[in-house]
Amino acid sequence: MTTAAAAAAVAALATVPASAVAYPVVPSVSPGGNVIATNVGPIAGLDNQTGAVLVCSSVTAEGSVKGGTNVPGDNIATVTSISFSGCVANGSIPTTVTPQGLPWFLDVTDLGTATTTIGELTGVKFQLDAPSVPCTAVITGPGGTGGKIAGVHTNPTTAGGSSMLELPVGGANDLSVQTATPAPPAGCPTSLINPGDTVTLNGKLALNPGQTM
Amino acid sequence: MHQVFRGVARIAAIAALTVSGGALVAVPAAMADLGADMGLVCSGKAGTHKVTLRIETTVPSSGAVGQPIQLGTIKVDVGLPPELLKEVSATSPNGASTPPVTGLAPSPAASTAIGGVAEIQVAVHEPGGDRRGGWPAFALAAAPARGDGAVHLTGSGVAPPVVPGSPGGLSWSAREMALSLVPGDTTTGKDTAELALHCVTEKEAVLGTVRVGRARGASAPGASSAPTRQAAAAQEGLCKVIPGRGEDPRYAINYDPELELAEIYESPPTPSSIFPRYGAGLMYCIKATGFFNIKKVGNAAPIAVENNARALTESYVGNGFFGPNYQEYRGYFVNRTYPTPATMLGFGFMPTRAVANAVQIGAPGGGEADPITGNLRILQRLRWDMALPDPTVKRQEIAASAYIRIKAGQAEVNGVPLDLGDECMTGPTLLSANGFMGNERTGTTQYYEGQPLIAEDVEIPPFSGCGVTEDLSPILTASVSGGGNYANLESGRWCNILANNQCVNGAGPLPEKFTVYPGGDVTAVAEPFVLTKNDTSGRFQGQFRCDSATMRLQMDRGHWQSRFRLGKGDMSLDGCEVEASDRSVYPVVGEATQDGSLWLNMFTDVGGGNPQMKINGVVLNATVDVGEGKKCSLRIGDAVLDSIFNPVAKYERPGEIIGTYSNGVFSMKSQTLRPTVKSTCQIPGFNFMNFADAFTLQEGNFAFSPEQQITSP
Repeated sequence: MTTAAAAAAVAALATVPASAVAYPVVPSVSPGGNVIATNVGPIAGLDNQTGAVLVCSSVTAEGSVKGGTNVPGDNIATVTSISFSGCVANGSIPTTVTPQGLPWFLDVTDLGTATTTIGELTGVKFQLDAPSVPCTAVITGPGGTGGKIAGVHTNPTTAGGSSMLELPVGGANDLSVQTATPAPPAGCPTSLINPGDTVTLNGKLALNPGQTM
Repeated sequence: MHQVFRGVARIAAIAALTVSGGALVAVPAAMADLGADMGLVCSGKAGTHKVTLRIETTVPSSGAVGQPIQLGTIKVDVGLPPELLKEVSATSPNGASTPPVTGLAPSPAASTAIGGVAEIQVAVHEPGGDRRGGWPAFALAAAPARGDGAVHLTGSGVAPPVVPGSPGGLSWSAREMALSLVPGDTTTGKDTAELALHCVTEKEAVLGTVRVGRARGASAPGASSAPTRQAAAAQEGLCKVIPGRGEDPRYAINYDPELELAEIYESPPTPSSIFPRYGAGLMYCIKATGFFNIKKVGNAAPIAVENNARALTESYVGNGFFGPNYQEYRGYFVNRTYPTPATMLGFGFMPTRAVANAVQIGAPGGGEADPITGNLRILQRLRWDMALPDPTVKRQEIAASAYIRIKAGQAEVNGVPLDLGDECMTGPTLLSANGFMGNERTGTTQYYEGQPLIAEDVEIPPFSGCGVTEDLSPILTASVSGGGNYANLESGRWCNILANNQCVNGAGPLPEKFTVYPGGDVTAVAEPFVLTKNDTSGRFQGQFRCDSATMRLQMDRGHWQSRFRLGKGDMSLDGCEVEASDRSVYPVVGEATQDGSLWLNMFTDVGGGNPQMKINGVVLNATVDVGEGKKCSLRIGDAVLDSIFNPVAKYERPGEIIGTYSNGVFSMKSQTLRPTVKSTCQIPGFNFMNFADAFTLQEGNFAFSPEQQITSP
């Protein structure tokens, strides 16, 4: 699936109100069990209002996937830890990213195609710290709750290979900047980040062992 | 940021000298002698020798807490035994560079063909504790023989002022001296081999003591400040919060098209596709120190300023996903100078001191509601790792411009005050300074980390209002005013004073400067040099290894140098081979070479405060024999990725190596290297060009020869 196609699928999915989502039953998930996810390419976030970009060169997540047949799509996977490193804002501002509210969960929201599955990561909250500015921002879902990020899972292309979880540009999410402190003029310049700004995410994670859904 | 002006003041002092002519001869009663005769034992490659050292200077007979105490011109006389002279003469030229030294011109050389540099470790003692005197390196030249059997080298210089922190006695002492001797005269600039000696006295020699009383009344803010490290604690007062954007019309960017002030925004032009974002601006205090070359005097003066800046009041930032690859920040500032006295030799022989202030003013012809601030512009690329659409920033830089007047006062000629009055100053002049913050080859610094600043061809306008009983302005003008003056400053980290971020004692920290010794042509060899690529599971994917890697760097010897671009050079690698992921090995034909210049940069680990070394500009080129008479080109550097959506290498760019430097050894700790898109090799597991395909491990300990002491400050 191309990035554009994935984005379109996710965007279409995003039009469905959350309350109306009926999680499908996934006929088969294999092998399940503990999973490690590492990034393939940079993981990036964009402040849609300021254009500021945060790029992380390394992301590693650990969790587990429910394996078996006829697995409910709700909370089909759990993210118990996730670490970000090599993160830089606007090409020059060293930034640390600290996840909050773990565990996060992965839901399947649409069975997609034979090789892809549509889903969303839920419970997402994290804090950004850029001490050189200084600026600390907390990114959450609405009202400070855990947010949602739409994604597409692609089965391994070779036996024993990784499967891929993509967060395509244009994919729906309900994340926004909850707080940005200290406020200007002491910190967090308006050209960088502001409370209420929405966020675009992009990146790919390789899951090992690869999961076939 | 624009200390330039301060130097001008010194000039004024010199002019004052001129005024005095030869009428002033007597040493003022307020001055006392300070100095000592010492015997030292010097050791080095030439063995151990006894050397004499005489230090002579003057000092005010008393001082006050918070008030700078300035020593007079320091004269040093180093006596060498004849056998040591033979050792120096036996050294053969090998290209070692002549060290730049601080201080005044050395004594006229006699016929003896020997010169050198003396760095005397002077301690300053007071009840509150000890500190370093920060004396300059003295350029030495041979003096006429005295019939005592020794060969005498003499030199002179000026030390930074000392600001007493507590009442009681303030004393100076010396115990150690680093002595470098070279055949010939160091002032000729010829490259010669040097003989380095470390000299110590058996007992620390006290040079003299000054009685320090309590401060006289409430000192004016900043009046006690001086651009010396030891004075840092007393330099509070010049960091002021200035109004944010929209709060006061006098504090704003001045866009008047009739003024040169706004020309800094003209080139390069700001992309019209980017809309500005406005804010109150981050409030920074920035300390900068450096020197000012006064063309007419043919000398340099130290300068120090605290710049109060509102940055990011206007921001032009491209989109981090879609471009343009551009970010520009604007703002405004008020520059405040530390009124540091400077001493120079008027007419080349008359010790003259003066205090100058660069007084920032509003634009000529401006009204009461017009800006009194200078303009600031910062240009940086948004992303160096990704090929975002143009326009972009190829050269990161900072530009600042302001109108100033140079005010001169507190002049002394040979210790005798010369009353210039309170209104002795120049007309308005535009001070425009630029700072290079790096490019793809040199590596980059960010504005808030501090940077070098240079103002070229600074015009010093005519003086007026100088003198009390007679008009001294024409003499000052004739002596000092004119064009072609030059300032070179280094700023420290930008202190966000409202957040107390990167601040020291409520003001900007001192610049991070480095001292290099002995400098010159330096060879740094790592045996072996290895780059390894493993996948995320730790499986071997490829290795580039060499028996040795040799960097050849040119490093200027000197104190307080900019941390950025501290050295420049190239690299070659011998005995290299490539091991593919399938463990097949391919030899490199001949030596691998560095494509373009390498740059050595130093920086301080913010968390730990430890100096780190960075080698930028790394692009290695190796011809690999892949068998059957075929060869390919393997290039190792860094990559510019195609886009956020397609993170594969699109262009080659220089990479960097980061590590620690200790005891003369640079140890690689990380790097950004990988085969580049310009490689033609199709070696299994070795044609990786994607985002995650950088080498993951490195091995290389570069031993510097001659061993370099790179210390801060």
